[in-house]
Amino acid sequence: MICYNNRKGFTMKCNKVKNRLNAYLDNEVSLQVKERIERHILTCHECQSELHKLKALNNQLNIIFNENLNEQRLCELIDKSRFLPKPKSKAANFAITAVSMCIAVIFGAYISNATFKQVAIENNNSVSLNTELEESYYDYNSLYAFLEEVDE
Amino acid sequence: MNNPFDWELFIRDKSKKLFHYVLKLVYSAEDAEDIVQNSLIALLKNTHKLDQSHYERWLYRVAYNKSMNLLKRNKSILKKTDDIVLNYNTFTLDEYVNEDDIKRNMIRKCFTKLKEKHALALELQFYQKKSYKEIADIMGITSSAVDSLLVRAKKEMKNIMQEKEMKNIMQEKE
Repeated sequence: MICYNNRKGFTMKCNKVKNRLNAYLDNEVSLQVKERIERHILTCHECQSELHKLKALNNQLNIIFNENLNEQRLCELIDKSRFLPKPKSKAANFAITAVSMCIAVIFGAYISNATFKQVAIENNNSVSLNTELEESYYDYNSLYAFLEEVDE
Repeated sequence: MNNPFDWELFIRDKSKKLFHYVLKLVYSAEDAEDIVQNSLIALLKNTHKLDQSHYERWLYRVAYNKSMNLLKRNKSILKKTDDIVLNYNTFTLDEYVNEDDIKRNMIRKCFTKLKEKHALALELQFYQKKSYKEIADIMGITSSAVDSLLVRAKKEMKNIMQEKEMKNIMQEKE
Protein backbone atom coordinates (compact mmCIF):
# COMPACT_ATOMS: atom_id res chain seq x y z
CA MET A 1 0.00 0.00 0.00
CA ILE A 2 1.39 3.41 -0.92
CA CYS A 3 0.40 6.32 1.29
CA TYR A 4 0.47 9.86 -0.06
CA ASN A 5 0.53 11.44 3.33
CA ASN A 6 3.34 13.89 2.76
CA ARG A 7 3.71 16.84 0.40
CA LYS A 8 7.30 16.14 -0.66
CA GLY A 9 6.74 12.70 -2.13
CA PHE A 10 5.35 9.27 -1.50
CA THR A 11 6.59 7.10 1.33
CA MET A 12 8.01 3.62 0.71
CA LYS A 13 6.15 0.33 0.84
CA CYS A 14 6.39 -1.73 4.03
CA ASN A 15 8.33 -4.54 2.34
CA LYS A 16 10.97 -2.21 0.96
CA VAL A 17 11.36 -0.46 4.30
CA LYS A 18 11.80 -3.75 6.13
CA ASN A 19 14.53 -4.78 3.70
CA ARG A 20 16.35 -1.49 4.17
CA LEU A 21 16.00 -1.18 7.97
CA ASN A 22 19.29 -2.86 8.68
CA ALA A 23 21.18 -0.61 6.29
CA TYR A 24 19.32 2.39 7.76
CA LEU A 25 20.55 1.52 11.25
CA ASP A 26 24.09 1.22 9.91
CA ASN A 27 23.83 4.61 8.16
CA GLU A 28 24.43 3.03 4.77
CA VAL A 29 21.46 4.48 2.84
CA SER A 30 21.29 7.63 0.77
CA LEU A 31 19.75 10.80 2.26
CA GLN A 32 16.63 10.50 0.10
CA VAL A 33 15.94 6.93 1.20
CA LYS A 34 16.67 7.86 4.80
CA GLU A 35 14.03 10.60 4.73
CA ARG A 36 11.50 8.26 3.14
CA ILE A 37 12.13 5.55 5.74
CA GLU A 38 11.78 8.04 8.61
CA ARG A 39 8.54 9.33 7.16
CA HIS A 40 7.20 5.78 6.82
CA ILE A 41 8.21 4.79 10.33
CA LEU A 42 6.28 7.71 11.81
CA THR A 43 3.05 6.27 10.47
CA CYS A 44 3.61 2.48 10.40
CA HIS A 45 3.53 0.60 13.71
CA GLU A 46 4.71 -2.69 12.23
CA CYS A 47 7.94 -1.18 10.95
CA GLN A 48 8.44 0.63 14.25
CA SER A 49 8.34 -2.64 16.16
CA GLU A 50 10.67 -4.21 13.60
CA LEU A 51 13.12 -1.36 14.12
CA HIS A 52 12.97 -1.77 17.90
CA LYS A 53 13.63 -5.51 17.58
CA LEU A 54 16.65 -4.85 15.39
CA LYS A 55 17.96 -2.28 17.85
CA ALA A 56 17.52 -4.75 20.71
CA LEU A 57 19.47 -7.39 18.78
CA ASN A 58 22.23 -4.89 18.07
CA ASN A 59 22.41 -4.06 21.78
CA GLN A 60 22.66 -7.75 22.62
CA LEU A 61 25.55 -8.18 20.23
CA ASN A 62 27.37 -5.08 21.45
CA ILE A 63 29.82 -6.55 23.91
CA ILE A 64 33.49 -5.83 24.09
CA PHE A 65 35.88 -8.76 24.36
CA ASN A 66 38.55 -7.65 26.80
CA GLU A 67 41.36 -10.10 26.11
CA ASN A 68 44.47 -8.79 24.40
CA LEU A 69 46.86 -10.55 22.07
CA ASN A 70 50.28 -11.50 23.35
CA GLU A 71 52.76 -9.42 21.33
CA GLN A 72 55.82 -11.66 21.83
CA ARG A 73 54.56 -14.29 19.42
CA LEU A 74 53.85 -11.64 16.83
CA CYS A 75 57.46 -10.44 16.96
CA GLU A 76 58.63 -13.98 16.19
CA LEU A 77 56.29 -14.12 13.21
CA ILE A 78 57.51 -10.76 11.95
CA ASP A 79 61.08 -12.02 12.16
CA LYS A 80 60.08 -15.07 10.12
CA SER A 81 58.42 -12.93 7.48
CA ARG A 82 61.71 -11.14 6.80
CA PHE A 83 63.30 -14.31 5.45
CA LEU A 84 60.51 -15.25 3.09
CA PRO A 85 61.65 -16.68 -0.26
CA LYS A 86 60.83 -14.38 -3.13
CA PRO A 87 57.78 -15.55 -5.08
CA LYS A 88 58.57 -16.77 -8.59
CA SER A 89 57.15 -14.74 -11.44
CA LYS A 90 54.76 -16.29 -13.97
CA ALA A 91 57.37 -16.05 -16.76
CA ALA A 92 59.88 -18.01 -14.67
CA ASN A 93 57.31 -20.69 -13.93
CA PHE A 94 56.44 -20.94 -17.64
CA ALA A 95 60.11 -21.19 -18.59
CA ILE A 96 60.73 -23.94 -16.03
CA THR A 97 57.78 -26.00 -17.28
CA ALA A 98 58.76 -25.50 -20.93
CA VAL A 99 62.37 -26.58 -20.34
CA SER A 100 61.29 -29.65 -18.35
CA MET A 101 58.84 -30.63 -21.10
CA CYS A 102 61.57 -30.33 -23.74
CA ILE A 103 63.95 -32.45 -21.68
CA ALA A 104 61.24 -35.07 -21.19
CA VAL A 105 60.48 -35.21 -24.94
CA ILE A 106 64.16 -35.52 -25.92
CA PHE A 107 64.80 -38.20 -23.32
CA GLY A 108 61.71 -40.13 -24.40
CA ALA A 109 62.78 -39.96 -28.03
CA TYR A 110 66.27 -41.21 -27.16
CA ILE A 111 64.92 -44.15 -25.16
CA SER A 112 62.38 -45.13 -27.82
CA ASN A 113 65.07 -44.91 -30.53
CA ALA A 114 67.38 -47.21 -28.59
CA THR A 115 64.66 -49.80 -27.97
CA PHE A 116 63.50 -49.67 -31.62
CA LYS A 117 67.05 -50.29 -32.76
CA GLN A 118 67.26 -53.40 -30.58
CA VAL A 119 63.92 -54.64 -31.88
CA ALA A 120 65.05 -54.04 -35.44
CA ILE A 121 68.27 -55.99 -34.88
CA GLU A 122 66.32 -58.90 -33.41
CA ASN A 123 63.92 -58.79 -36.36
CA ASN A 124 66.79 -58.79 -38.82
CA ASN A 125 68.30 -61.82 -37.10
CA SER A 126 65.04 -63.73 -37.33
CA VAL A 127 64.59 -62.72 -40.97
CA SER A 128 68.05 -63.97 -41.83
CA LEU A 129 67.34 -67.26 -40.06
CA ASN A 130 64.14 -67.66 -42.09
CA THR A 131 65.96 -67.01 -45.32
CA GLU A 132 68.57 -69.59 -44.40
CA LEU A 133 65.84 -72.12 -43.70
CA GLU A 134 64.12 -71.31 -46.97
CA GLU A 135 67.39 -71.59 -48.81
CA SER A 136 68.08 -74.96 -47.24
CA TYR A 137 64.50 -75.99 -48.08
CA TYR A 138 65.04 -75.05 -51.68
CA ASP A 139 68.36 -76.83 -51.56
CA TYR A 140 66.63 -80.00 -50.51
CA ASN A 141 64.08 -79.47 -53.25
CA SER A 142 66.71 -79.16 -55.82
CA LEU A 143 68.42 -82.17 -54.34
CA TYR A 144 65.24 -84.23 -54.67
CA ALA A 145 64.79 -83.02 -58.18
CA PHE A 146 68.31 -83.98 -58.96
CA LEU A 147 67.78 -87.44 -57.44
CA GLU A 148 64.56 -87.91 -59.39
CA GLU A 149 66.34 -87.01 -62.58
CA VAL A 150 69.00 -89.53 -61.72
CA ASP A 151 66.37 -92.24 -61.12
CA GLU A 152 64.77 -91.58 -64.48
CA MET B 1 59.10 -2.56 -10.14
CA ASN B 2 56.53 -3.61 -7.55
CA ASN B 3 57.02 -2.39 -4.02
CA PRO B 4 57.82 -5.22 -1.59
CA PHE B 5 54.87 -6.17 0.59
CA ASP B 6 55.14 -4.72 4.13
CA TRP B 7 54.65 -7.82 6.25
CA GLU B 8 55.33 -6.16 9.59
CA LEU B 9 52.56 -3.62 9.11
CA PHE B 10 50.20 -6.30 7.77
CA ILE B 11 50.79 -8.66 10.69
CA ARG B 12 50.54 -5.93 13.33
CA ASP B 13 47.37 -4.55 11.79
CA LYS B 14 45.46 -7.75 11.06
CA SER B 15 46.48 -10.03 13.92
CA LYS B 16 44.54 -8.11 16.58
CA LYS B 17 41.39 -8.06 14.46
CA LEU B 18 41.81 -11.73 13.66
CA PHE B 19 42.33 -12.49 17.34
CA HIS B 20 39.07 -10.81 18.30
CA TYR B 21 37.27 -12.69 15.52
CA VAL B 22 38.63 -16.03 16.72
CA LEU B 23 37.73 -15.17 20.32
CA LYS B 24 34.08 -15.27 19.25
CA LEU B 25 34.51 -18.84 17.99
CA VAL B 26 36.82 -20.34 20.61
CA TYR B 27 36.46 -20.33 24.36
CA SER B 28 39.94 -19.54 25.68
CA ALA B 29 42.28 -16.72 24.73
CA GLU B 30 45.26 -19.08 24.50
CA ASP B 31 43.56 -21.22 21.87
CA ALA B 32 42.75 -18.08 19.95
CA GLU B 33 46.39 -17.00 20.08
CA ASP B 34 47.49 -20.39 18.76
CA ILE B 35 45.02 -20.23 15.91
CA VAL B 36 46.06 -16.70 14.95
CA GLN B 37 49.71 -17.71 14.90
CA ASN B 38 49.10 -20.89 12.91
CA SER B 39 46.95 -19.19 10.32
CA LEU B 40 49.53 -16.44 9.86
CA ILE B 41 52.24 -19.07 9.38
CA ALA B 42 50.02 -20.83 6.83
CA LEU B 43 49.67 -17.53 4.98
CA LEU B 44 53.44 -16.94 5.01
CA LYS B 45 53.99 -20.41 3.56
CA ASN B 46 51.43 -20.02 0.78
CA THR B 47 52.11 -16.46 -0.35
CA HIS B 48 53.26 -17.56 -3.80
CA LYS B 49 49.86 -19.13 -4.51
CA LEU B 50 47.82 -16.06 -3.56
CA ASP B 51 47.11 -12.58 -4.82
CA GLN B 52 47.81 -9.69 -2.44
CA SER B 53 44.18 -8.59 -2.42
CA HIS B 54 43.05 -12.03 -1.19
CA TYR B 55 45.38 -12.24 1.82
CA GLU B 56 42.90 -10.94 4.39
CA ARG B 57 39.95 -12.98 3.17
CA TRP B 58 42.11 -16.10 3.05
CA LEU B 59 43.36 -15.44 6.58
CA TYR B 60 39.83 -15.16 7.99
CA ARG B 61 38.75 -18.35 6.26
CA VAL B 62 41.76 -20.33 7.52
CA ALA B 63 41.20 -19.05 11.06
CA TYR B 64 37.52 -20.05 10.91
CA ASN B 65 38.33 -23.55 9.66
CA LYS B 66 41.05 -24.05 12.24
CA SER B 67 38.82 -22.97 15.10
CA MET B 68 36.03 -25.28 13.87
CA ASN B 69 38.52 -28.16 13.81
CA LEU B 70 39.58 -27.32 17.36
CA LEU B 71 35.96 -27.26 18.52
CA LYS B 72 35.33 -30.67 16.95
CA ARG B 73 38.39 -32.05 18.71
CA ASN B 74 37.40 -30.63 22.07
CA LYS B 75 33.72 -31.49 21.96
CA SER B 76 33.80 -33.46 25.18
CA ILE B 77 35.58 -30.63 26.98
CA LEU B 78 33.11 -28.12 25.58
CA LYS B 79 30.17 -30.01 27.04
CA LYS B 80 31.72 -29.74 30.50
CA THR B 81 32.17 -25.99 30.17
CA ASP B 82 28.55 -25.72 29.05
CA ASP B 83 27.48 -27.41 32.26
CA ILE B 84 29.56 -24.98 34.29
CA VAL B 85 27.96 -22.01 32.56
CA LEU B 86 24.48 -23.42 33.18
CA ASN B 87 25.32 -23.87 36.84
CA TYR B 88 26.31 -20.23 36.97
CA ASN B 89 22.83 -19.33 35.77
CA THR B 90 21.20 -21.10 38.67
CA PHE B 91 23.31 -19.30 41.28
CA THR B 92 21.33 -17.01 43.50
CA LEU B 93 24.21 -14.80 44.61
CA ASP B 94 24.92 -11.98 42.24
CA GLU B 95 28.63 -12.06 43.01
CA TYR B 96 29.22 -15.19 41.01
CA VAL B 97 27.23 -14.16 37.99
CA ASN B 98 28.89 -11.90 35.51
CA GLU B 99 26.21 -10.99 33.01
CA ASP B 100 28.73 -9.98 30.38
CA ASP B 101 30.34 -13.41 30.58
CA ILE B 102 27.01 -15.10 29.96
CA LYS B 103 26.36 -12.79 27.03
CA ARG B 104 29.81 -13.53 25.61
CA ASN B 105 29.24 -17.27 25.85
CA MET B 106 25.89 -16.80 24.14
CA ILE B 107 27.54 -14.92 21.29
CA ARG B 108 30.21 -17.61 21.00
CA LYS B 109 27.61 -20.33 20.68
CA CYS B 110 25.72 -18.36 18.04
CA PHE B 111 28.87 -17.60 16.06
CA THR B 112 29.91 -21.23 15.96
CA LYS B 113 26.51 -22.17 14.54
CA LEU B 114 26.47 -19.47 11.87
CA LYS B 115 27.76 -20.05 8.35
CA GLU B 116 31.29 -18.82 7.70
CA LYS B 117 30.35 -15.89 5.49
CA HIS B 118 27.59 -14.77 7.84
CA ALA B 119 29.93 -14.83 10.82
CA LEU B 120 32.60 -12.93 8.92
CA ALA B 121 30.16 -10.28 7.70
CA LEU B 122 28.78 -9.75 11.20
CA GLU B 123 32.27 -9.54 12.65
CA LEU B 124 33.47 -7.00 10.10
CA GLN B 125 30.38 -4.83 10.29
CA PHE B 126 29.63 -5.03 13.97
CA TYR B 127 32.89 -5.32 15.80
CA GLN B 128 35.36 -3.77 13.38
CA LYS B 129 32.90 -1.03 12.36
CA LYS B 130 33.65 -1.24 8.66
CA SER B 131 31.52 0.26 5.93
CA TYR B 132 29.69 -1.93 3.44
CA LYS B 133 32.19 -1.04 0.73
CA GLU B 134 35.19 -2.17 2.79
CA ILE B 135 33.43 -5.42 3.69
CA ALA B 136 32.65 -5.97 0.01
CA ASP B 137 36.32 -5.46 -0.88
CA ILE B 138 37.49 -7.95 1.73
CA MET B 139 34.88 -10.61 0.92
CA GLY B 140 35.01 -10.15 -2.84
CA ILE B 141 31.30 -9.40 -3.38
CA THR B 142 29.23 -6.32 -4.17
CA SER B 143 28.03 -3.91 -1.47
CA SER B 144 24.35 -4.69 -2.15
CA ALA B 145 25.16 -8.37 -1.59
CA VAL B 146 26.74 -7.39 1.74
CA ASP B 147 23.48 -5.67 2.70
CA SER B 148 21.35 -8.75 2.06
CA LEU B 149 23.98 -11.01 3.62
CA LEU B 150 23.86 -8.99 6.85
CA VAL B 151 20.06 -9.11 6.94
CA ARG B 152 20.14 -12.89 6.56
CA ALA B 153 22.89 -13.24 9.14
CA LYS B 154 20.95 -11.24 11.71
CA LYS B 155 17.83 -13.29 11.06
CA GLU B 156 19.79 -16.49 11.67
CA MET B 157 21.38 -15.01 14.77
CA LYS B 158 17.95 -14.10 16.11
CA ASN B 159 16.59 -17.60 15.47
CA ILE B 160 19.55 -19.24 17.19
CA MET B 161 19.23 -16.93 20.19
CA GLN B 162 15.53 -17.68 20.51
CA GLU B 163 16.19 -21.42 20.35
CA LYS B 164 18.81 -21.10 23.07
CA GLU B 165 16.47 -19.09 25.28
CA MET B 166 13.72 -21.67 24.82
CA LYS B 167 16.13 -24.44 25.77
CA ASN B 168 17.21 -22.56 28.88
CA ILE B 169 13.59 -22.01 29.93
CA MET B 170 12.79 -25.72 29.41
CA GLN B 171 15.79 -26.74 31.49
CA GLU B 172 14.81 -24.37 34.28
CA LYS B 173 11.30 -25.89 34.34
CA GLU B 174 12.70 -29.39 34.61
